[in-house]
Amino acid sequence: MPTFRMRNGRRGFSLVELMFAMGILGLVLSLTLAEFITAFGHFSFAQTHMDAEMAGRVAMAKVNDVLQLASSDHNPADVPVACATHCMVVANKADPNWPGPISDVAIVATTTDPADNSGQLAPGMQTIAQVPEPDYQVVELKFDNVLQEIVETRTSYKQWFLGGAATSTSVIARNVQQFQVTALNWDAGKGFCSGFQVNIQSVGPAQGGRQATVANTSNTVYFTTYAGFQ
Amino acid sequence: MNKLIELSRNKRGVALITVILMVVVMLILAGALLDSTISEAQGIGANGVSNQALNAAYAGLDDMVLKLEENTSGTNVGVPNPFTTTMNGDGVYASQYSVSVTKQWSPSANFQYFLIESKGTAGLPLGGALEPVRTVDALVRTQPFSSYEMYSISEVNNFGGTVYYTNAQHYDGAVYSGGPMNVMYKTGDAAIFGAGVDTAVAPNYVDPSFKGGQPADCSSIDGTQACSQMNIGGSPKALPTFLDNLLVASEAYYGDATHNTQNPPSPGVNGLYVNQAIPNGTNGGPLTTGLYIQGDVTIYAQGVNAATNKQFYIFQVGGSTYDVAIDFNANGGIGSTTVISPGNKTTIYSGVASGQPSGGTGGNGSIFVNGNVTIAGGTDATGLIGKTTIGATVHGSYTIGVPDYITNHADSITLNKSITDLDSSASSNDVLALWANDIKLNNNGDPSVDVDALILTGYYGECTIAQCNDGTLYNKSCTAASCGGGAGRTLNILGSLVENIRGKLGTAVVGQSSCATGFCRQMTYDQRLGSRPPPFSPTTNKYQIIALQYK
Repeated sequence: MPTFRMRNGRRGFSLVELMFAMGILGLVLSLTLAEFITAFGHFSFAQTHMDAEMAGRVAMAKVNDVLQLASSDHNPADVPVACATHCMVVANKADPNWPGPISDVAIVATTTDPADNSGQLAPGMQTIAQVPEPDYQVVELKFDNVLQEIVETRTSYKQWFLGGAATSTSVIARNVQQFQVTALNWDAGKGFCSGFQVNIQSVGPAQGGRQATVANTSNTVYFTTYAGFQ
Repeated sequence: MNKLIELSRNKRGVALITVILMVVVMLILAGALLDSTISEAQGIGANGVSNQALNAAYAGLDDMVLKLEENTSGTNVGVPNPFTTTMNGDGVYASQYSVSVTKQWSPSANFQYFLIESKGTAGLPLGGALEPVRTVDALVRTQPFSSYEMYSISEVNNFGGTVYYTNAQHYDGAVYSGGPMNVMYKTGDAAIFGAGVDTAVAPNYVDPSFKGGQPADCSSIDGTQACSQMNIGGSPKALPTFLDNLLVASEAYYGDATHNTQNPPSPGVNGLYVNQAIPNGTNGGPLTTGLYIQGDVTIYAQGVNAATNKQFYIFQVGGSTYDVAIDFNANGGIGSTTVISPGNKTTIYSGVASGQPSGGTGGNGSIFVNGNVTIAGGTDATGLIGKTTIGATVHGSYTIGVPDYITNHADSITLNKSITDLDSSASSNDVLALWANDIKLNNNGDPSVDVDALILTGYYGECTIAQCNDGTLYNKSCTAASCGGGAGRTLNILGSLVENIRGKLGTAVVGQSSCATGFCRQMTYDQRLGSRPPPFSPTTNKYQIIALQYK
């Protein structure tokens, strides 16, 4: 009989008590859920925005790395196919009178073609009349608005003007919605400027129920070489 | 059965389970966020350290360029030894660069090239080697004066007047001024300076009503909002030295660069000297020097087209005339220089009196005159008759100089007519330098005069106050009040101008773009002068990075 007494001492809730308790619990849970949904929404937005900003920063860093190497071609062997003078920026072939901003920019830089040993910046580089003359290439950054990518192509200086094939092509940034470059102090006749204003709008893609977001990154690139004075 | 009922009653309610579930869900979310954050932080950190290493490598490059400049004296450059510098930064992160000159090229006495390799590392200063290693390779070169379109030490003109940079002018090349520059801008007009300005002291900005102060928008000055292309400060720059000027004399008379510490030769007989002698009809042979002229000379110059590929000069020295024909196609491309001296004596030299030869030997384009020079015009088709009615042209690469240093700068160059390159396209090597303490414009007839050259005036240490009155390009017909030659005339300088003080060329009315008297100066920079300057033209003690790569 002691067992029976225990049962009586721990009797269950009445139906009303249980419903009341569940009602309170439901209310608390629904409030908590609402908070969770709000928090998750903020988290998702922050995550996609961070993705967008990260994509923008990475894209900008890579674009900067390319554009700051702009140089003028000093190799006299290249001159007959060059633009009006020793251009350091050859803009885009479709629009040589670059008003900017544009999404297709091409600069002149020393070659990175591994097959061109004598043209590399190295102690054994080729010379003309005892003057060191590295080889040059045209590095073109072009925005693909279908795939939302910035594509880099590298073409030998002469081949670029002759419409020859690129020696290398690579995607340097993805999830880019807009890529605009404006030349600073652009001289169309000579193909010279002192630097670029670069704007990149990158996207944090929609995934897992998240909404896509965009981030804008801007930067001004001044050339390391003495390009403006060549 | 009783036991089962008891157990279920012992674990009644769902609150604990709910709480546990919630905690688990939150832990999962927090864990995912933490993992993502850690991964991105590591990525950013690695990228940051790599960038820090690259910046260190760039800093090493700048440091080596600075050391090259410090080690430069005249045309002599002491190549610095390799060195390593560590920067402790904030005490937590450090970076380091090791930099060395890996190769030097010296195509001529005053033009040097250096290949610099700079390796940068970064990371925590304690606990081992810094990493990663980023490398910057750069090709640097001595900077010629002609890398500037306009280079002036003083902003006072040769009558002591104030000179203004206005929107009626446009500089499409770089400008240097010892300052203070006087910039009269007109809001809404095109920028005066298109390729930046280096100046030692802050400019005086005024609008057309002479209201002072830097404007809120500098678009009409340098094309930027905040005058960011006006680079103010740094050490004042200097003019070429007597060593630079005498290098041209040494190359013209001796054919080498070793006689530039003594006065130029002064042979007893006036005339044209080639290979250190007046051509006499028999003393030809390989050309080993430039052209050296003793006495005042009048020069006519005419280049002829690429098919004929010749340059004619007529040098009138007193009553003697020397006809010089430089044939670039002769001798299977080696070329020839033919001189017809008084008495119709023809002397033929192999090699051309043009350009700056590699290694510093052989014929070259230095033309040094120990006297006054007058550029009088072109020639007829034979190259034997001077034509004062047409402008002079040059085909080839030449520097025409007279003494310009503290103890000897009385001789001058006078321009009676235009002088231009036969071919000024990008692929052409037709470039000219004119070098005298004073270069005078003597033309009141032509509506416009073109000077397609690097114009060098003034020497290092020359005083910069108005009373000096020299070291300048000026209009000979100008007085303090006005200039001769009527209104609306133009002097087109298609190259580069280096002056001690600013020479007066014309007068203008404030707010008007055409000149009231004399010449309005229009400048167009010839980019070739920056990378392929005329032979033996001077270089600064600065170095410019002309090619760059990083790894």
